Amino acid sequence: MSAMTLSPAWRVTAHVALLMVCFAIIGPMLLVVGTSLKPDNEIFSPLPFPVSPTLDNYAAILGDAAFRTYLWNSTGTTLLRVAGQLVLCVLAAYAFARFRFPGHNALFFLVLGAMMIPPQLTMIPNYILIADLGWFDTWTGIIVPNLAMPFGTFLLRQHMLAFPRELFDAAEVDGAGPWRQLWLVLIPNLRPALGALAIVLFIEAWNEYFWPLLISETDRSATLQIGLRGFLNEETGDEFGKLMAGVTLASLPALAIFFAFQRQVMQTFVSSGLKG
Amino acid sequence: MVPVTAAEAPRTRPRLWARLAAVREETALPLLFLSPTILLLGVFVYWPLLYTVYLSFVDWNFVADSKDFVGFENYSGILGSTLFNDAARNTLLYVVGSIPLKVLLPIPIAIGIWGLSQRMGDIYKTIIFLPTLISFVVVAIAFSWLLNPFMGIIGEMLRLVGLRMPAVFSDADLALWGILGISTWKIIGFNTLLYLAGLATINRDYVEAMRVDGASDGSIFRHLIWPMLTPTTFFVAIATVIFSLQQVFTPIDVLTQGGPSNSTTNLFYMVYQYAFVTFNVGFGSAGTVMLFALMIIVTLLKVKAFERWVHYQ
Amino acid sequence: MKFFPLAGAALVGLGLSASGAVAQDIDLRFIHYQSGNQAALRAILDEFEAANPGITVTDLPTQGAQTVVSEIQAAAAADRPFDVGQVLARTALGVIEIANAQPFSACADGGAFMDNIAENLVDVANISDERYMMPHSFGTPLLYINMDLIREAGLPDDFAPTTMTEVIEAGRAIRDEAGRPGLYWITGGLDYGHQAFIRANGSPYLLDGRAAFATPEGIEVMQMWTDLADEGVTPKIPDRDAVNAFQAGRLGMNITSSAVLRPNMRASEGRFELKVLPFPAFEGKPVEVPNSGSGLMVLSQDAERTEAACKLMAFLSQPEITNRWSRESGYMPVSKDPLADEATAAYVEENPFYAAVIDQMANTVPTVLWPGDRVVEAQTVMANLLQDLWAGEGDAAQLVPIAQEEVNKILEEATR
Repeated sequence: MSAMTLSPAWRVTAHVALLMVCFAIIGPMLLVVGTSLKPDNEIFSPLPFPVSPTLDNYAAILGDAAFRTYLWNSTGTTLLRVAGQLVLCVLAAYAFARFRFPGHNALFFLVLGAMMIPPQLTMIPNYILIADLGWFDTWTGIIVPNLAMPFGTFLLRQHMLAFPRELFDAAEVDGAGPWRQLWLVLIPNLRPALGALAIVLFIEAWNEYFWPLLISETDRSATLQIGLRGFLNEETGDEFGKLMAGVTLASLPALAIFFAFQRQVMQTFVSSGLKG
Repeated sequence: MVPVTAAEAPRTRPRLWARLAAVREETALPLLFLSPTILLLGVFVYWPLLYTVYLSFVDWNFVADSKDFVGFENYSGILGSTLFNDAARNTLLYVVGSIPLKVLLPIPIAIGIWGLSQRMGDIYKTIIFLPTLISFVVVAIAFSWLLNPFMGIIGEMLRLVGLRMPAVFSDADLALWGILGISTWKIIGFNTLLYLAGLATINRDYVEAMRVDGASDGSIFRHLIWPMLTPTTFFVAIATVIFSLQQVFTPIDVLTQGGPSNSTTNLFYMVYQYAFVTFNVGFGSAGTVMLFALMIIVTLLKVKAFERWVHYQ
Repeated sequence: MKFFPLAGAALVGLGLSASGAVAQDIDLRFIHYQSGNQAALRAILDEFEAANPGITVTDLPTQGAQTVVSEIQAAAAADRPFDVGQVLARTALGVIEIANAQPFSACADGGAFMDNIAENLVDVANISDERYMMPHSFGTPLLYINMDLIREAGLPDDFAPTTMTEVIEAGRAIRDEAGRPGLYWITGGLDYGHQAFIRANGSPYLLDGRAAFATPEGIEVMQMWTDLADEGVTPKIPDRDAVNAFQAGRLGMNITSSAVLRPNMRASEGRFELKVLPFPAFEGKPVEVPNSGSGLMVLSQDAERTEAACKLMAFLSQPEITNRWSRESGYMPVSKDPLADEATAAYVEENPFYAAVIDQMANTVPTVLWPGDRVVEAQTVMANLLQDLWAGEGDAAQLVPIAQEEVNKILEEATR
């Protein structure tokens, strides 16, 4: 059913207004992509699109060894981090959803509470701790402190609570212990929720700026977000075409994943709206 | 008390074991599952919070061997500093400016999308949502080029029609509004989605029924839509306040580093400036503790708002 | 300093196991900010490795000059020092204190390699007659001119100003006739520009470790800087935007580091005619330009690594290496007579603009040294001073003395 809830006059107004909003949203994106396709002598022209489009800027940025290093660091740290987060979220959510144990509520409150604490409030001791652990400028330092994911734990617990109890009982009758129930019953049925969560976690990790800003030092661990920031060159001037090609490439993975799995991502994003 | 007889004694052992086994399964297993999460949160979230409180009472620069206890000197030092004054004022401006742009503006957008056909609504919704997926670093870099007063493309276009582009991010009067503008661009789709979730609970048949009864658009909005949206609005407002406090860190760091003349720094960025630009750990920690108190208040409001929101859904 | 006893113990354990290992190659950790020139630097380091078996160099490029200082501070906090650091000269004293840098007398040759360096540049970071820094990537501010805009402003083709008065007049003409901002001068991110122009106008900047710029000459320069901005001659933008605007042909003149020489030459090609001149003098005052940029310091904390780091310093100090680095990076040469080097002489033939860099060597004076470990905080006061002036929060006669007081308060607390 596609209900037309607005009256016809309002419908026209809505279309006009929404088209303007969409233009304001998508216009800057197109200008950036347009600039990234301009040859050097057109970079400063007022035309929104290149007269003789070229991929030179993309070749230049991909030919930059530093950019390729950032790309590698971003890919590696993001994938490892998301994988670790998923495992920890599943285990913790299972503990909260399936078992009653002493301290259940207190621990749950502890996990939820952590969701509300932004990283800027813990940065000073964490900086010292990372230094003491020798994790500065390493993938470990970028990944490990972010592995516990209260929002994901909360979300998966909700899904598990909604799971019919009878299926567990049936499995128990078959002699499956809690561990096997998790892997054989729960996980296969949670695949859509896990997939959506993985995508949201991926986008979040890929776009993360604050923590790597604190922890990474050199090309050994600098991610794309940090690297792009570094391309804004104080002393010798920017190459704008190259820079715009860089930001376009850096945005592609998240956009591609979104278009592949649109619906789940939007829903999970909405539910992530409750986190701090 | 029933005395334990000799005959019964041997039987308690297996029962005890069984009970222990059950307890082990019901307690030890979940605790085992939880341990990595709890351990990490303890080490990287809760312990640092406590340690920050300690650091807020000492004078330290990360390196010196001694941490001298200075009482409340760091707190009074911050409260008396121009940086704090500017950061507090700007934080308020960010929050106040966010209300019309990020909280109220998405309401008509969401209602428009909701009221159109599913197919068109979905297209609009998808486009408006896109900035949520793009990192704030990318957004900041892109706009610093687009809005560059000398050779940015928007400036060049304005020049064609005889207008001059102001230096948005290096003018003390404009920079904060520039950052507010690009953060609106980034968040507006997300907030629209939250409102759409609220609107989804409205039964469209009521709208039809009211219209058949001759109700005007205005009264449909006043009597049906707005009451259903109030809890969402409250929730979005609180979430946006937190966002405005915390997330603008990235555009501030990329575009202005808090300048010019402290005109764009906020309380979160101030704490970072103290701790990691000037390495004054005591001031940074004292600022953090004050911010934490503020966050607790805002978060409690948010939990309240969330409960109401969920309740209405 | 450790507050995580377990982590501390683990580190000590690691340290023990490392020192128990058999003697092996030394790998020097060299932190720098030459990501733009990394290939050229790496080639030089490779030659060093070939000439010194048993020593390798891992070079660690960071995001920027300021970052190096923070990273050295962080590394010191974590007890894992770098061996060689490329440090902004003006922050040298803080780094010596924070990271316990080694004086060159700790080297086996007693620091004799410094004899390779031009005499007016050797004493850039001394404490009680000990040298701590070898000049390496020194910049010097040059006057870059867009001749197309000069012509548009009705000025002659042979426009070659030597004084600030001429430069400012031309800046006004460009604003009026070409409708573009006429002149920008470098801030240096924090306060390099403040120092350079205040000293060029004949006022001290720091004296005996205390701010001393609230003089009539100092106030005059800051007011001039403000007036130029208010008149629309100087755009109120950061250095980076000014470099970009100049390269795009949208800014008449830019007084900024010699490090931009090559990028400016590249960018101007096909866009506008570029002219490069030495730093202009204030009327009737000698040209004395403080160096910007950085030198190398030895940060190793044990004897064996210190000696290896000294060998690297000695290698990098050789005139043919410093001259080559200057040609490839655009930084100022630091050797005694760069034109005696055939390669450099030939290079000047081909790139006449480079002559301005060499000319200016003789007029270079060491940049001021900030005492204590709160250098950035003090410099930030100076950065804010200019921003406050530009924002119209007062005039220089009011704000400069206040800034001096604020800086001195920080310096006093930091050196208590």
